[in-house]
Amino acid sequence: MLLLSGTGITLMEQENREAKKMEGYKMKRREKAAMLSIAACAMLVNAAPVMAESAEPLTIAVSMRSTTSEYHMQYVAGAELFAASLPEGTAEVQMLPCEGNDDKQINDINALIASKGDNMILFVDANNAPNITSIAEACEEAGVYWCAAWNAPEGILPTSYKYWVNFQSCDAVKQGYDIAVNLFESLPTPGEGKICVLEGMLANTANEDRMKGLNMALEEYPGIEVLDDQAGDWDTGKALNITENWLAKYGEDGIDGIWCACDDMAVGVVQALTAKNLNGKILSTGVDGTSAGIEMVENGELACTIANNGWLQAGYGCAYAYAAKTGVLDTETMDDLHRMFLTNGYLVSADTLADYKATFVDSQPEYDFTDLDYPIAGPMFEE
Amino acid sequence: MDKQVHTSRVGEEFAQEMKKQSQKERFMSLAPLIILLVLIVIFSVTAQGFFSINNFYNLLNQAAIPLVMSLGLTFVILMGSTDLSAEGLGGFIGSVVALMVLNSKNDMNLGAFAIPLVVLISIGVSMLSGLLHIKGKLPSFMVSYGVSSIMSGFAVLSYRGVPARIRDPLFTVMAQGNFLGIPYLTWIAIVTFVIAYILQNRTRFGSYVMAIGDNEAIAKNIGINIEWTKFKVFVWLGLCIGIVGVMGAVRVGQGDVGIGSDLVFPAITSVVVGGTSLSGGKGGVVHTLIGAFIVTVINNALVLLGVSPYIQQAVQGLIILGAVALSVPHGKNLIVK
Repeated sequence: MLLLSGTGITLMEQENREAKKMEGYKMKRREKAAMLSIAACAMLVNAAPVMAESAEPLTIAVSMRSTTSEYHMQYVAGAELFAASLPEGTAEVQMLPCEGNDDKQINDINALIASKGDNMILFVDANNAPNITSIAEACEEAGVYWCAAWNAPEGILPTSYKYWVNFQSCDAVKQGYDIAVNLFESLPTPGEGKICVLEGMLANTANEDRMKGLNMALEEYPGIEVLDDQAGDWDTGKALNITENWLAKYGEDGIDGIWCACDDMAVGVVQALTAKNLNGKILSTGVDGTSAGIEMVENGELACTIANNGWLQAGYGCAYAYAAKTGVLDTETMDDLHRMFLTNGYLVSADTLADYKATFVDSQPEYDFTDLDYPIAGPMFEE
Repeated sequence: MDKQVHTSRVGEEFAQEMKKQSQKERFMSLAPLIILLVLIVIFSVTAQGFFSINNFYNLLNQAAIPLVMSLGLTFVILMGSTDLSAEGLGGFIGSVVALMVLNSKNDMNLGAFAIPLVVLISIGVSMLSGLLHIKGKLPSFMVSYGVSSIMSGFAVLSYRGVPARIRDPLFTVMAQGNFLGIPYLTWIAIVTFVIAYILQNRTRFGSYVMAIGDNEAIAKNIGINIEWTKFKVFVWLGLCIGIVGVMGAVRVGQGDVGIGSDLVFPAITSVVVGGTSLSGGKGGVVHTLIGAFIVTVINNALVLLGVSPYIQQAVQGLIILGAVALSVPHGKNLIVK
């Protein structure tokens, strides 16, 4: 388990502890920040001579699950944002979608390494955690600096490798908790009512963590009754069928809300509710911040969704790998916080919708990729 | 004299054996229907909300897409082949139709004309797939798998990662409206079933398909144009996949490649559970209708029963295995491919 675990304590307590810890980190970080910022500012200055040595532009590879996922395509857009921050013509982005196939992910990365050598950096969202070991070994052998997000096997850490610069993840426990609290407070009687739970894929790390967050929220809200819990496998059609079945079982007045673990499934939930004119009356939730999810928040059909912010994850993932490649960062002297950290999602509800749209929908987000502290929301492990 | 007595005894035994065989076959052909009725009775008693008018419409709605898909595959399976192209092709059709009607991604707005257009595209792709199988002498299994992958790729390319949300009012009406209380999507499935029934039982094409599935060599010897018949089966399959792709987009209100996921194997399951032989020549569209409802009823009831998602798939698998064991003829003389 790589993410913060809150089992046995309330999120409030956990947040207090984290706040104290963060204070400590901030003290350390303030000291290091100045040094890191100076070094990072030098990154872009250093970039031109480094690139000039190589005739070929640097390849910034993004290995992710699928081009069908709007969120995964945000990775590519984030990498492109970073590439655009470098001197023109010195870097190009190449995406490596594995379409859910572990072997394809590893083979594609190996093939690219064979073609580009160390004239590349890599951002990876591993299709499955065990892939990380093979990718780490391939990059270590070829001298390719890289970063990873979301999945890594337990006990396999960047600190054991020179070229694996860092590992980041969204706090999925917090996501599950936040959307649950938002839903509970949005019910006709805030904090009281009957809900159905639509999980994603069983035994999937993100799903399990979001469920932990939900359970933490349920402990804090004794007035919420869970009628049923089903797995929709992240699939829109399955979510639609399950919701139709719930409406048949509990009646149109028997459900107050539906806690749904992702936006793709929320589309199916809302379709089923719309067919019964219940959209907006029975609220649901989502995670991922897809355009459909944002639209449903805007229509008052979802209480909220959480944008994982793939732009930030991949953009800064690439920035770290690039900083290590250009000698601005030395992985052997980097502290644990910068090598393993959590990033913040963006909770989009009726209250925050306008801000979110202004930043992420109506325009591309803008990041200062020289400020390598910016994406860090907290440490991945409790000390 | 003794010889005559012996001959008549053998004749009687043979007649009795034939009678037994025919009774057994009659029972086996009724087995899927009996299984469906037994499941309905059991779930009506045990699952809250199962025996209700709301859930009846739910079942009709949820069976619509699997039924059309299964009807398309029935003719392929009846002639002893298999086709896996629906996953990619159905996803592609769903993605493209969403981009052709009023949607969130582009200004194209072909309205109802988009539907026949994408169905024709589906038929065209399926015809190509059929030609590769028939003229190229390639196994239908592999050809269709390749076609599925290609079409999945095109589907993703069509919307570049961000699925189009459908805004066309016609699609909204199709998703939510009903006629005589029966959802429109179910009417589409009913019409498809009637056409499939006529094709199988009232045309030469239906007889030829059964003959090919039973024994292709004999069918050829009696003058059936094997290649032309097979080609027509792929046209029918393309039509059904096209309809399924449109129905999928209507149901989820957006176009993405996921519309095609989980189409093929549940459809093959429906065909087989209904009693159609995977080796061809036995079964038909009525069996498929019953099979599609058996699979839909099981999926529906497991949610209504509140079966834990951790064991739901296992329970579903066990019930399907049980249904197949009871409804598909098996014995020592049967060849299991």
